[in-house]
Amino acid sequence: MRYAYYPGCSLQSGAKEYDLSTRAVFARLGIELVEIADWSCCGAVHAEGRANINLSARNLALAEVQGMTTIVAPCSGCYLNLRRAAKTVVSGKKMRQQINAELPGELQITADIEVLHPLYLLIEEYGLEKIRAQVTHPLTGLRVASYYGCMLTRPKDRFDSPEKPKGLDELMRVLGAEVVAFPYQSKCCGGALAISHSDVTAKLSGKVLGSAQERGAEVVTLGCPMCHTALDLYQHKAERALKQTLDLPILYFTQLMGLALGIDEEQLGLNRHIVSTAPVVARVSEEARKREGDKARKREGEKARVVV
Amino acid sequence: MDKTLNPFLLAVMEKPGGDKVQQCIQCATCSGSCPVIEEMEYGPRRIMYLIQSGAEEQVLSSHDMWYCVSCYSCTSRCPREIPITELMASLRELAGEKGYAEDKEAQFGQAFAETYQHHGRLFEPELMLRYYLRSWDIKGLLGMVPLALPMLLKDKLPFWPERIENPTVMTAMCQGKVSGEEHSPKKRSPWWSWSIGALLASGGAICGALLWMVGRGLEEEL
Repeated sequence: MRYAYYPGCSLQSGAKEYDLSTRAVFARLGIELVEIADWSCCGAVHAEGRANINLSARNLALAEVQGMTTIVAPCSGCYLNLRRAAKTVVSGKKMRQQINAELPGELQITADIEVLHPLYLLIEEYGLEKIRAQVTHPLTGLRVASYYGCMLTRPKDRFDSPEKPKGLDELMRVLGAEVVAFPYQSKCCGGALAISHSDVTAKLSGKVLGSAQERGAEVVTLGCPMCHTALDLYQHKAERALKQTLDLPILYFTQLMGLALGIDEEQLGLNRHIVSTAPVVARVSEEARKREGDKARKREGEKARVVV
Repeated sequence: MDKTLNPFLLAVMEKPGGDKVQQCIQCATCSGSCPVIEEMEYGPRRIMYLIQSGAEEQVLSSHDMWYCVSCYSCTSRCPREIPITELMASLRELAGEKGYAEDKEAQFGQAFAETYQHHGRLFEPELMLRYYLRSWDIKGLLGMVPLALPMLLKDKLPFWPERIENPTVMTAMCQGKVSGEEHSPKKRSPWWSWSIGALLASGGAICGALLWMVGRGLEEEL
């Protein structure tokens, strides 16, 4: 399996841990990611009019230059923008011509291109059972709240329900975790207003985190760097808005996958979080030790029986 | 197109997401689904009605589209399948064209677009600098100060921009047919903004390094 990889701006700076863990997990699973050479910003939610499609289209064209037909984009925002552009390209000959006319230099989109989020690539193209077979450190007993955010499942696409999505929960169960259902799983965290109206972000992310904590979650998992900023970096603001302590570690789903697949912590960027991820790492290794202990005791028991 | 329609409605209908505005049946599923409805003056349902009635000034001078968090809840629930989120983006564009874009989020959007057009990729320190120089959002800046140190310590702020081979293609692509850009030709970013950014970044790097060394020293002593 070989895919074009579009990290996007935030995975190079604030969300480097998402980049690190995605690359590490995909390498472990034997999926090759080829970074799109000279990729550029998709414009996030700050590209209106023609810019919206054009900025993404350039990246689609660059992937085509490298001979790729499917792009993996881990940031939900980039994923939505790139996917929208890819759909616009296929929507009609006229559209394609217009886009191609506005692409810089020699760049052209001639073939159809697919854009996938790593979560649904793993579920639909790789397969959860194949992942289950490779789990070496199951997240047994870890109470995980799956947070989908907005652009991963909305507007409606073929992968999951925009109202009651389940992909992330399924993946977490495969990793051995205990999934905590909470009503705010696909409500907005307000990440888009984090700089200009941070009080709104604090209020919205407070609702999400408060709800997850109330349902007994030990960790929140997600697949969007914007949501991660709102829930991790802004958590103390959310605490102030809620008037309660949260102290909830926020891990990318690829980081939890990495732990379950036995990938070294350092490769997953777990030290780059504002809210410490140490309790989660400790839980996972404690479970692993317990299992080792159980196995050892079993062996001892068998030996004793042989002696008797 | 129908000549009897009011000019504002026609202008909106020409924008992405605007062609279906007339199909709105005022069911208010959008406003009921909106996570930021409390912050809005009208909310999406009344905005739809105001567009239909041609209340240009009322719509474009409201701050509603700047508070839209692009969560697509309204879009995915609208029984008439109106892409309301896209429409909100088009209203932001129109507000920019007609000189109504004064909200802090409008300033942020501008700063964001200027930054990615400058390098081809985003560079957060420059984005912040451009935003605060543009908006003088002192309260927001003070709120960011406590975040800066943890971000530096966790290596979440890059010191140097990642650039694409030829960043000028970004502006060209954005200008494609973007009317916002046509009405207000983009000025080239002054050289000093870039230097201040670099200075701030290197200052930050030195502070970060010092703090890191102090931290390590303390750790060793303990």
